[in-house]
Amino acid sequence: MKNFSSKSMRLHFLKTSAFAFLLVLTSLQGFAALKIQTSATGLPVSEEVVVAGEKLFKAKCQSCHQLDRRTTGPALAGVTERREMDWLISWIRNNNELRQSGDADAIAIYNEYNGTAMNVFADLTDDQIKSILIYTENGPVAPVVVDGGGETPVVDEGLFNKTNKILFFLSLLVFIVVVLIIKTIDIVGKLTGREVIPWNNVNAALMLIFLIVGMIAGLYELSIHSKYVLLSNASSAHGGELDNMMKITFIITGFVFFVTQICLFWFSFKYRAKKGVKALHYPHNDKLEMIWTAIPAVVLTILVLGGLKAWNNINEKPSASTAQIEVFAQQFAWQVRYPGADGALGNSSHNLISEKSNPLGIAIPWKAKEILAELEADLKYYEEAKAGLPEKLGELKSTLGGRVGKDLKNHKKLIDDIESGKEASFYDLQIRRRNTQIKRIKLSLSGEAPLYSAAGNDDIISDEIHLIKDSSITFKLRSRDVIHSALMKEFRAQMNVVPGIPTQFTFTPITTTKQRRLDLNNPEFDYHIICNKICGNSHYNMKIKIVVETKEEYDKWMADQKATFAKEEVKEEVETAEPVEAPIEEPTEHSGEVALN
Amino acid sequence: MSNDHGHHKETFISKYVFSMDHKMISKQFLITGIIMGVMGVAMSILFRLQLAWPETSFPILNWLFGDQWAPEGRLDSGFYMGLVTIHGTIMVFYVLTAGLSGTFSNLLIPLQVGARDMASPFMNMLSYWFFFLSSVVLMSSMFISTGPASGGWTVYPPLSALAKAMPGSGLGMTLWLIAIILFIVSALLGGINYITTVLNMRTKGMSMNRMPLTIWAFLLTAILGLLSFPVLLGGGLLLMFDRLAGTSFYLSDIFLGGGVGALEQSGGSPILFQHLFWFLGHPEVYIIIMPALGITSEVISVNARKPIFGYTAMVISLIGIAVLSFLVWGHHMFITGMNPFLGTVFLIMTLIIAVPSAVKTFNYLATLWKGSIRFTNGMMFAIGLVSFFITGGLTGLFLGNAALDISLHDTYFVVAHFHLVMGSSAIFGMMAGIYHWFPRMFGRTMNKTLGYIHFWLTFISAYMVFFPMHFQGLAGVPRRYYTFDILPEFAPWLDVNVFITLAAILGGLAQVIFLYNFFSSIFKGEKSSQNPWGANTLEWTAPVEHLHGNWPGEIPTVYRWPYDYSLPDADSDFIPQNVPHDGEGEEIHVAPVAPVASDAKKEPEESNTMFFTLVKNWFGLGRA
Repeated sequence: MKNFSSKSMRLHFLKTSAFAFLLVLTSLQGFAALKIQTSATGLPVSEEVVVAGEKLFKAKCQSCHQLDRRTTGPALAGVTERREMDWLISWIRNNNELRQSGDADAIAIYNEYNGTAMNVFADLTDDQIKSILIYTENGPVAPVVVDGGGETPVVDEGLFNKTNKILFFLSLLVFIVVVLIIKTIDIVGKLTGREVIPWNNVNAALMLIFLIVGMIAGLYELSIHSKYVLLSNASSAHGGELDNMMKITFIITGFVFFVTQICLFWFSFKYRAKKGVKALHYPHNDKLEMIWTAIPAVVLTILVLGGLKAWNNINEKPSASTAQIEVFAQQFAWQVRYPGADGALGNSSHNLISEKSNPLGIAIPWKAKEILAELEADLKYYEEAKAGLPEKLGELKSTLGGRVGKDLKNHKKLIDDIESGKEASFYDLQIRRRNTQIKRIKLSLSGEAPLYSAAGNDDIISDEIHLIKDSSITFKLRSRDVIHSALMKEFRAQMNVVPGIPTQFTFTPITTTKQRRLDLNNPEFDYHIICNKICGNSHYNMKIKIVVETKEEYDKWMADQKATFAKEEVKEEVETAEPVEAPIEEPTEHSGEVALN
Repeated sequence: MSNDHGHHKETFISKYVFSMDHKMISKQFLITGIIMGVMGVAMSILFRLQLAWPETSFPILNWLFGDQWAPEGRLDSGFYMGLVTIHGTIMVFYVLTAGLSGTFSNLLIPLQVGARDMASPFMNMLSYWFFFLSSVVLMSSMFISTGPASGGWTVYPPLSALAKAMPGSGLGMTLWLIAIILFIVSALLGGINYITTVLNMRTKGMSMNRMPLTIWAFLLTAILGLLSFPVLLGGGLLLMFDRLAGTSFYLSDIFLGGGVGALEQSGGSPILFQHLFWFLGHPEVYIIIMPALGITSEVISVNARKPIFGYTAMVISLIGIAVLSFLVWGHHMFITGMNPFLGTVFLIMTLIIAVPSAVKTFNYLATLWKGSIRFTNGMMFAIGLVSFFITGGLTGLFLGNAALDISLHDTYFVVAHFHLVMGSSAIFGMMAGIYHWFPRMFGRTMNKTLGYIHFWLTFISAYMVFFPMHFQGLAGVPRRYYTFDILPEFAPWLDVNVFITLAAILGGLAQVIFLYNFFSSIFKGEKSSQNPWGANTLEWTAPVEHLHGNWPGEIPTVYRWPYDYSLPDADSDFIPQNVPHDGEGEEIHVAPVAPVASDAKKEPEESNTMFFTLVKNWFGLGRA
């Protein structure tokens, strides 16, 4: 049976030939449901656990990790064999803390991955983490292959198989031969003093051939790829208008494209130099030029008017009844916040974000006090760490001997960072940041800035967006760190998510996920937001699922959702918080209309 | 006074290294540009390997970049972005701005307007050396432990402002900024020189309306650069402050993961940088394409043996493009959340700029019509440029439309669009220029057979690379993605990516032919005659030898415009600009009844030269 472990793929190649590539596909078409019986986590292995782990893995880990290969982070298959279980759990839950505690392995990983820090997953329970680890041990639970012949492992050398290599060398050879022949003819021509190949006619003919073959190839491509193109079946109310606009533009540009390209290559062919034919001296024709200035101007006016109409429709101010949800972006995940029963999103502040306890920075007074305590502890850690630097330096220097290779290099770098003052200045910076943050939170708690309201108490944070069919929705977009862009291609919707500047996009979904699956004849289909503005190393792996459903289904889903901070304490605190209650209107945000940049 | 320039004692250093001669500086720009171009193209092929075969191990990547950036023979995702970023930066700034404009402005401005050298040869030399230094700084960022800048060539903050946001935003980004600042200094030094030379140093008779279109293009390009580059300089310096001095021009309300926490900065706007960047960034694409269009005008006219059709319209459309290019930058930012009203303004301006571009295209077609086309290598690349300019230009009508941009923004449609309209077009303009003026630079011609092979392979492969990308973009495939596992509906595009990468490799190999042809022809190419293409412009009257001061005797006087090709009653099918009308010289006799548009005294009667009378009076520069 094919072992899932991917160690075998670490093949080493000789560097002697640049062409000696080999494709190793670790295509994981499993044969049985479970590949392992026992797990290093100590938990009993069952299909449910693996499936639960897979779901978590896909939601939390996949943006940076694959099982079988290194991406932004290391490959995770076999990770339970490489590391201690306790270490793994504390690393996954909060790798920053582990690093701060001076754990050598944690620091080594951080350095190996060029200083890319892993996200914190403080909300995961031990069992959840273990289920993820079991998934890494087992791999995906594959459906049992029904067709026979499942036992023969598919060895696909892929691109660089023998046939292709031979083909490649053959075509290279043919090319070289052709060049040599042409070169020879050239030399013969030079020696005999006359042109053997009538290059001017050859090139003129090639121009014409290029036109014809190019047009055919282009149309052929159109025929095979047009089915993937998003030109119809938009899933939003405004999408149809955009698609029409796109089609009109296509027709106009397509027509101009054909006419001008045909003229270009046809003229090139037709008016090639011929003996005894002189070119026509024809320097200008004002009337003609006026005509072909005016025609594009008129056509463009039509396009401008159409574009303006569509653009203004899309950007129309949402009506008061339009529901609002907050879509929150961070490196490299999306989260969504629903307003809860009161229908109003609570305020938020980046100062109140805590990866451990308040990932979206919702402004709730008791939460703010909790975060203050976290920050004080953090501050103390940095101050102590700074004070302990000379001691650490001494220790590092005393353990320098006996190290070799990469280990020595890393060790020397640690010493160097302390000696050059880099480490100390980093701590200084962090101390300053924490102090500013503490000051800001205290200021907000003192009531001078109207930040807190009860609206946030019942807000719901989710990893999945649910929308109601035919009901318009405003996505309030907020970013934690860098610019992201929320691309929802089926809805013909996109808007950048900019830190510090609230943006929004309003649209009405008109096709449910179920309906769309039927339309596409693809039961696996899901709507997604994907990130479309480079935001870091794992930019290419940042998505959140959108489910469009009927009102009933939505209500059912919503009933299962719990307010994120609905704890006993809330009720007590709400009472005390009431006096500070501020208007629902978020003071830090203004509508897209006002955000004139 | 004619030839005393030639008597300087020249050492190797003063002749080939710190040369102040515009011809030598143009060669320096060209060769540096070619070297940078080779690296830029090679990078694109390397990162396209990742897109086509994301699972495959390529030992060559590991061999090139080591275990840190290509462990197991696959590019690291951050380094992939680094390659994309440096590829973009190199191609846009180092190849197509300095390599193209720097080379041909330097070579042609003094030679075509009839000047002994640039207005300030010393500044000209500085311009090259700042460019050289800038190239070295940029490339050095490939060799540092955190890797090169990797936030895309547009380096949007906060990603580029925060060293902890991605490894490439560390030292690599600082070096990128230093390189760009040096580059801008170079561009400004060059630009001032070009403008001054064109306006002040034209020879007798070379009025503005007798300037070849190349010179018009270089002049307007230099003006664009002079007005827009300083804005990026400012923007870049502010970004530098944000990075190194803790200011908050572009930063506000940021919480960074990985243990960094909430930042102190508040009150800044990341969008401000985008405005500053694109205020240069958009004129920049015209800075790239206008010299290519100028070169094409000249090459097409010479090789179709026809005057360029609608000289006045060509100049006016160049001026129109130059002015409008300052008013359209917002079309890069339709979906940043800027006020929708602003979007409508930029939508209108953007689509208006298509009109002068369309006029230029139609005029090229009309120039070819009833011509007598000689397919020299330069001519073929010029025709290729027109084809790319049409294809890429038309897709601009989609992207300039704010409503359509919602779906198309940052997809492969954008990649296809700009690679055709400014990438391939400008490269083809540059190639046309190189093949056409190679005899003027080195006194030899390049091998035309190899040139034909180079042209056809490049032309076909460029279409094979960029045409399918339109479909990818229309299907919503985002650019700057390391792999496309994210959505199952992207799976069908993997085959297309393989096809594109193979085409890109083919195109890359074709450039090897060019490199061989270029460098071997410098030393072994066929000796060229004085005026191998039968062109009218002044550069072909100067001796081929490297001569400080360009002409051994008096600078020739100009008697006519540069496009007297195939005059009906003339014996020869071309009449150089320095040939007088009334038969003072005995070379050509023009019948007095010939209805030729080029007689200076008749010009004011023609309606389409009124504009030039105006310009002449405005600048006070008429010299006829």
